[in-house]
Amino acid sequence: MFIKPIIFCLGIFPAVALADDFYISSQSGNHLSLFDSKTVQITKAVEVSSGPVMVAVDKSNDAIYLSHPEQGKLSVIDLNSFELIHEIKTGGQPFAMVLDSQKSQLFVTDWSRNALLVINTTSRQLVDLLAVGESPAGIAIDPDGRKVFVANRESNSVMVLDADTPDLHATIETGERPYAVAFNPINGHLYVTCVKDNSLTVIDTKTYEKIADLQPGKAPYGVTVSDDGKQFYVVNQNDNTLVEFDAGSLQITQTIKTEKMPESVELSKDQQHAYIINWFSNSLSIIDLQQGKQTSSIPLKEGPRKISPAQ
Amino acid sequence: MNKMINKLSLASLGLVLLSSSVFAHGPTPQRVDEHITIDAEVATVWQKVNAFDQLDKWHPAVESITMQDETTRIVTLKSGGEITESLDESDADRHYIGYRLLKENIEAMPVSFYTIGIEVEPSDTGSKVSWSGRFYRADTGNFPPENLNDEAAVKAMTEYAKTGLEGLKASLEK
Repeated sequence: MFIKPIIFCLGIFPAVALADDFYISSQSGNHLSLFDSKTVQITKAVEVSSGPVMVAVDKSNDAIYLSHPEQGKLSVIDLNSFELIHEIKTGGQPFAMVLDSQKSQLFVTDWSRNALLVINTTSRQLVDLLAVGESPAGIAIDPDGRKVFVANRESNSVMVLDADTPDLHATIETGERPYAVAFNPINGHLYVTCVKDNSLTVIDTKTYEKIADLQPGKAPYGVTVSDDGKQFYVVNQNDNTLVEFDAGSLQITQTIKTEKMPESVELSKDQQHAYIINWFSNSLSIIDLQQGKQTSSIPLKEGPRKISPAQ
Repeated sequence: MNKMINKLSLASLGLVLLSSSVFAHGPTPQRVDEHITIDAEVATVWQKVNAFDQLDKWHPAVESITMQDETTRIVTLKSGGEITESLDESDADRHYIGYRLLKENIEAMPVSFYTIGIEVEPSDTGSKVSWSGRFYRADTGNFPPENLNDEAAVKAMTEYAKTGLEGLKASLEK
């Protein structure tokens, strides 16, 4: 009889089980889904406000942020109940988001106003609006180095901004139409996928120099880095593939078939699996990285755009 | 009625400038996914599909094709207007071609960007051809007029794909 209250207590501290959770947005289907990688199932799916694109998970505030570019707003969803708790009206077309692990702030790119929005995640207020290049898309942060990286899709550049002050450190030329960015904290490299010329620009964030121009495949989209910084992964939307790169040699170490038009990729907690959402197929591919192939696929609501881990 | 069309055309002219600088991605990407079965062998169908400069030979909505360079075609539509498309890949093993919109013309086709793949696969009766892709509405702002919104884009792209597949079938099943 004593056991019951203990179980109940665990239930109200969901952070315990969150490391295996991934959150998925479906833009056309207006849904937020929870993928439990332990049981390999979608354990929760709720309808949200129209057109959610990107997802950011804020454990310290028990909040999930969804961007709705076509509505000029962000939704703040309760991490546990999945209920809408707040809306932040930003105006413009808020797109990609990144949380600052050192400070209560969320950086959001604004596609139509060529701006970087700064949201205070405690007060849920828009506190700053900084000018960046044209049609800013992907965003990443170096929380220790206090730098924010923004891909300016129409300017073919990445801007490095200060995470604490409204300063611009550098503007670096990339391939054509840079879309997503990922920061490797181990070697300080930034990976930028360039959709139009099928390239991936590697930038050294210490020197702000472009150090390589790689060829991952056709229409590279989402990119992510392994926890140890030794590999990075790119999905190619027009090839229907996942490509693994060695972060040291910058060589492709394997190419794995996905379903149609993969959009976003994340790794499992133990780094043994890749989870990929496929925009055209409306599915989640479970990839076994050791076997080098897709082992299963789970249907998703229409138009999946982003998968984000809880950690 | 003519006056109405003129007015709409003028309005869209102004938007050409706007949408080409704003590009896609803010709005929700839309899809086209059409299929047809053709009573002809895969190799025969593939020959037609793969001839990037010969679209006018089988697509009923296409007046003519002018090649700008080896992988870029200017498609003149029978309804008027030109769109420029660029070939991304031609995979003879997979019987697949992929191409994208290089230069939009929202008066001719109310979309700001697309990538399209045409694939030929064997079927019981010969071949199955799929025409699929992703695209964005012509006005990528948050308040598109009716003729430049998602619905208009889906309608135009779906009709163009359907007509194309039917034309391809007709040209092979003579």
